This record gives sequence, structure tokens and C-alpha cells, in this order.
Amino acid sequence: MKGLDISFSISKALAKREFLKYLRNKSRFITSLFQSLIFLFIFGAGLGSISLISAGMIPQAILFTGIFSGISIVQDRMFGFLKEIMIAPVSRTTITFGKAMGGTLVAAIQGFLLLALTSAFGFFGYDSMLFLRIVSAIPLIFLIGFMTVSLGNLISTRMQDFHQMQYLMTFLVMPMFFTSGAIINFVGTPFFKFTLINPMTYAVDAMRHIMLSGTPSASFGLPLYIDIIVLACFSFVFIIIAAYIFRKSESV
Amino acid sequence: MTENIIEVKNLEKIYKSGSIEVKAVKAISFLVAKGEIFGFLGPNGAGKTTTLHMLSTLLFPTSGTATIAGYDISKEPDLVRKNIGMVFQETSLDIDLTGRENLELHAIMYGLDKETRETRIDEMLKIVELTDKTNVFVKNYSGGMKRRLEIARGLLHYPKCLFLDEPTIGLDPQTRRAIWEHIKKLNQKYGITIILTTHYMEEADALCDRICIIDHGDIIALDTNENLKAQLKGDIISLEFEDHNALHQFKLKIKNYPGINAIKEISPKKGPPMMGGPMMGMKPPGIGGKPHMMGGTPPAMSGKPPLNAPPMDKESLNAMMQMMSQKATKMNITIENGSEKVPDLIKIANDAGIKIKSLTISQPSLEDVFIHYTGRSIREEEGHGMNEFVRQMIQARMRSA
Repeated sequence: MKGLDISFSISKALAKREFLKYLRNKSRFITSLFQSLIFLFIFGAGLGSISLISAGMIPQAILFTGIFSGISIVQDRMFGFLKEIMIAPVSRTTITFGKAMGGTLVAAIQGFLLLALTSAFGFFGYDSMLFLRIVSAIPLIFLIGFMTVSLGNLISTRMQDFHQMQYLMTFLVMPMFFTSGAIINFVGTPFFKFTLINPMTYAVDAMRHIMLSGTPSASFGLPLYIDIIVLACFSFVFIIIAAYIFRKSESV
Repeated sequence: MTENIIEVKNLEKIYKSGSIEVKAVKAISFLVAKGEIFGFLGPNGAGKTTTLHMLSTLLFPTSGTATIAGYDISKEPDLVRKNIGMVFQETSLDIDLTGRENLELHAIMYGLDKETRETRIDEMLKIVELTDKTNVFVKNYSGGMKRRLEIARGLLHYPKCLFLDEPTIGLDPQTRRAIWEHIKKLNQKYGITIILTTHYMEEADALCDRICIIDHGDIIALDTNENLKAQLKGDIISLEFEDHNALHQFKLKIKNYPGINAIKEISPKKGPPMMGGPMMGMKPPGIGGKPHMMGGTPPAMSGKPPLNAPPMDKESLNAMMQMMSQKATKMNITIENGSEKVPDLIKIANDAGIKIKSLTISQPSLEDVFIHYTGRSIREEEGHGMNEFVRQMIQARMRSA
């Protein structure tokens, strides 16, 4: 029991580190937030459905931040700090868990900021249900955060330095963003079934369920609980594989 | 009886990639006593860091075993980790955190409770004299401060053994000396065993109780610095003469002088690298070479130098010949009780009418020891680091595989 206790406090300390670094790097969250708002207003104005796109953009904000939190381990490797973590008498699982917790928190804050802003702007209307919706969106935000961070973690096991960042943006993050249904609706097109392999499709769908329930175009047809289960499964698979590879690898 | 804190037996590390196989560390064995300052001395790429990484459980040995404080590095890595502190060659601090936050995180990872953490952090910061910088971000630290903070961090959990990988690399001489003082102080105050790697002779000399000279992954000598130097038996008297003839005559005179262990002529500096080039590949006209006899030179070319080698003018040829004929005018005599023998040696020279231009007497340095064992200077090796290069290449391949 004591061992588990210590493991938890180590995870907490590692998570705190991620969080502190995020808070101190103001340019990071300002850029990220600005990017989300730009997308939101451009597509919202162009396509004329600001509430749909708002609900779609919140998961994207989490995706951008989450992936990069997940690969912060690459940064640690580059700056040498990973060695300090690796040589400590701490299990790799604890390290993975701690870093994932910190990353999830950071990604969730980013998502929540956008949720708060869009709600304040009235994009989801000002009805009596709004507060309830926001509150029920919070656990979902954490789940999406965890999923994206886990994916980032998985990528980080194959990434040696930040030169590969461009590949990551071009071949993974951007396609995930555009095929998620957040701004373009693929329902009814032959392409639709391909979007189902994108975990972000479920994230967007779940967010619309919660924020826009009752609107006819809120979902492409899956019930909320299925979205949640699919997201959880993706997260689980990503993090397990990441932890496994991380455990098997040599440290230096 | 002294207690051994580290016992290493046939420890080996081989990097493999396809058909390439590099032995980074070749089945080395050694013991380190408790409270010792033990140094690995060797050129870059000799296998020092690889050995340290194996001992600190960061790398898995290919074969062989080692125990630290009684724990096996392969079977009980967590217990080994609890008992060692490590300062890496490259900075491993989080520069976005303050000095204190770095130490705090370390202390938590090593399972120290809050109260112990506070007192230890204060204690260690005081030892490395960083108390007033505790809340400064590490990115604003100087190189020496970072090093000191890392040493403090490595000590927080009171390890039995502290590993320092090139602790003063890239630091200015003053800071280097300060770090040496810190290391000595730690060793004396806490009785902590210190294992360090270095390629600086002065560093090994100033700090270490015992030195392990390592080259191409193999231990080539292991002893106290005094003993290592004593193997060169005696002092070194360096003499310089007017010309090689004088040197030669003096050499004959002292051939049977008692107490001399070695006489070594110091050849003048080697000529420019081109010397071996044109002289071997071509025969300049006028030296009586027969170009058409060489290899498959076509008969049409006979009598003419090869196209790619311009004919040499007489002046440069003479200069080259002179350089080649230049012979040593300096020599080192390794002799027991050198200082007592100097007057006698000068008398021998005077009696024979040989003029000595200069004379210096010195104790053998570690550099001399290194030359003695490897047949070359450690400085010559710097920058090559072939082993390291191959290792990185192979690792890169393995990662991309």
C-alpha cells in the first residue's frame, strides 16, 4: 500500500511539473487559444453554423494541446531531463502515468477555456440548460484530453527529436482535425466510413451530443455512450502500447 | 579489511547492427572500496560513459555482472538506483523549473517525505553554495552553477555511491577547481564513494585515489596515481643538445650509468602531412627513379613524372630532404633519484666536451603514464572518438529499424 502511495505522489509531482511548465509558457496557450478562435470564426462565418462548429472546435483545441503534451517526453529527451527521470528508482509505468496526468490536465484546461469563451459569446444559446451542459462537458473534456495525450505518448516512443514535428502536423494532426467532422460534415458521402477510424470523430460527436442536445443536426447517429466507450477504448490501447514500448526501451 | 562497494566481473557491452559489431566495453573486472574516489581515465569513446551507464542500470550489459552496495545491477536495478547518485555528462536539469523545484522533484522521486526534503535541500544547496539562487530559473544559471546543482541533486537521497560523468567538461579552470573542492569535501564529509570519468589528466591526478586507465573498451592499467607513476621508475630528466651528434655521443657515455631505466629520444616535430604523400607516390626527377618500372605506368610516360604530381623545384626538394634528415636533439632519461644524479651527469658531459643546451627534471606525469601504456598521447585521441561515432550510428539505425 505504501509503495502505491509513493507511486501516486511521484505521478502527482511529475504531473505538477507539466502543469507548471504549461503555466510558465504563456505563448503556448495564447497561440493555441488564438488558433482555435481563428478557425472558429472563419469557418463559423463561412459556413454559417457557429454553434455546430464551436462544439466541434473544442475537441480540436484539446487535440492540438494534448498531442504536444504527449510528446513532451521528446523534449525531455532532447534536453537531457529524461535521463534524470530514467535513473530514478521509479517504474516506467509510474512515469507514463504521471506524464499522462499532467498532459491531460493541460489539454483539458485548453479545452475548457474555449468552452467557457464560446459559451460566454452565446454560441450555445443562453437557455436554462447551459450551465448543466457545461458541467457535463467537463468529464468529456478530460477523456478527450487523455486520449490525445496517450496518442502523443505513443508517437513519442518513435520520435527522436523535434525535426519530425512537421511530419506529425502534416500526416497526423491536420488529417485528424479535418476528417473529424468538426467543420465539414461527411455524413451521407462515400468518405464517411473512413472518418470512423478517426477517434476525433467520436470526440466531436460526443461534444455535440452534450452541448447541442435537442438540435436535429447534433449527431451523425451514434448514441453518446457509444462515443464515450469508443474514446475510452482508443485511449486505453494508445496508453498501454506506449507504456509497453517505453518499458522495454533502454534509457540512453 | 576494506569493504568493496562496487564489484564488477567481466562486464561487457557489445553493440550490434546487422554484421557490424562494436565492443564498446570488453569484459572488464574491477573492485572499488568504500569511501574511495575512483577515476576512469581515457580518451573520448574509450568506453567510460558506457561503463558508467551500465553500472547505473541505464544500459543493459551484454554479459557479465556487477554489484553496487551488494545489489546486482541486472537483477535488482531499483535497489541499485536507490543507492547511487548520478551526474551526467550533459546537463539533465529542467531549465524551466527553479533550482529548488528541480531538487524537490528529485527528492519526491526518491521517496523522501516532506520534512526530510526541506532539510536535505537546504543542506545540499549550502554545500554547493547555491542557497541564494534557489528560486532562480535554471535557464538563468551559468554552466558551473548547473553542474553544482546537479551534484547537489545527485546527493539528495544520500547515495552510497556518486557517479560523475566528466564533471568539469566545458567549464573554465576556476570553476573546475571549485568543483574539485566540492567533490573532495563530499568525499571527506560524508565518506561517499565517488566514481568519475574524465579525459583530463590534471583532474584524475588532483582528485582520484585510484585511476583506471581505459582505452578501446579495455582496462589497461589500474592503480593509485603514485603507483602508476612509479611504474615509470624514477624521475624524468629532459636534456637538449646543440645537435644530434652531441646527443648521440652523450648517449654512448651514459649507456652504462647506474639507475637509468629508459632513454628516449624525442624526435622533432613531424613534417607537414604532404611529406608522406608525394614522396611515396612519385619519385621526383633527379633522384634516379625509374618511373616506367613502377606498377603499370605505360611506356609512353617513361621519364616523365605522373600528370597529377607537378615537378618539384630544387629548393623545396632540399627543404624536404633536410627535414627528413633532421634528427633528435632532445632526449628524456628516466632515472632513479634524478635530482641527485644531475651534477654527475653534467660532469660527464663537460669532461667529454659535450655542450648541454638545457636541462629540466620532472616527476613523471599521468600523461607520461598514458603514453607508456598506450604508446600515444591522450590529446592525440581527442576529437576522434571513433567508438562513440560507431555506437551512435548503430543506435540510430536500431531506432529507425
